[in-house]
Amino acid sequence: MQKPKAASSKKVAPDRARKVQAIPRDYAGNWVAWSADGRKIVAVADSFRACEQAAERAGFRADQVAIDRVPASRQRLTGSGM
Amino acid sequence: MRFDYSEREVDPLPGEFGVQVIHEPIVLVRFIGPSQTYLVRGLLDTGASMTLAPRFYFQKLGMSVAQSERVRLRTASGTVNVLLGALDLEVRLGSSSYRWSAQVGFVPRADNLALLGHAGFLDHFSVTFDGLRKRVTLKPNGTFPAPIFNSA
Repeated sequence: MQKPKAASSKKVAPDRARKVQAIPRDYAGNWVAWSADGRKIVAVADSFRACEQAAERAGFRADQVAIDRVPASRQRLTGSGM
Repeated sequence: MRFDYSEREVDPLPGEFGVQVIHEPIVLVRFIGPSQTYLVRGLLDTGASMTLAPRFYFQKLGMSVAQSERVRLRTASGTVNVLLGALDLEVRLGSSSYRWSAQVGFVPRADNLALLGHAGFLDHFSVTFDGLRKRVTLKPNGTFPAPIFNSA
C-alpha cells in the first residue's frame, strides 16, 4: 500500500528579505500605527486618537502613519462581507 | 511593485492548536482629498466590485456630503449605506509611486481598513497573488485616470 502524499509537497525557503512586522496576538482589539512604508508598527494604543498621539510622540506625524484597529484574536478578516 | 502579505497572530479555530499565524494581502494606500491626505492600509479584495474607504476619513479628507452621492450597496452580509466621493489614490514602494483618481465609497468599518476592490483599484493593475511566498505583485496596466488634486 502506498503512503498517502500531501496535495502539494513544494517547499519554499524562508524569504529573508521579508521585513513586515507581524502583529502579535496581544495587540488584538488595539489601535496600531504603521510606518509610512507599511513595514513597522510605531505605536499602539486603545483608541485612534491615543494612537495618533503616541505616534507623534515617537516622531511620526499624523500624515505619515496608517492607523487601524487589530481585529479580535479569534477573528479572521473578511473584506466584502464587511 | 511587490508587497509582502501582512502577518497576524490569532487564536486557533476548532481543530487547530496553539497560536496561529494568518496572512492577509494588505497594502498601504494614500487617500488624497480636497484638504488632507491620509495613509490607510487596504485589503486587496477581489470579491469587491468597488473600492471602499472607512467613513471615519470622509470629513477628515475634506469631502463634502453636499457634493457626494448616497447609494446602497449589497454585501455578503446584507446592504450598507455608502457615501460616494471622488478623490486621488497613491501607492508607493521605494522610489516607485503611482497616483490616480477614483470614485470611492465611504462605509463604516470598525477596523478602519480600506477594501481595495475592482473599480478604483484592482482594475488598474495586473495582480498576482503568490500564496506560496505570501506576497502580492501589482503591475500597472496603463489605465490610471488622471489625478484631480494637486497635493503632497
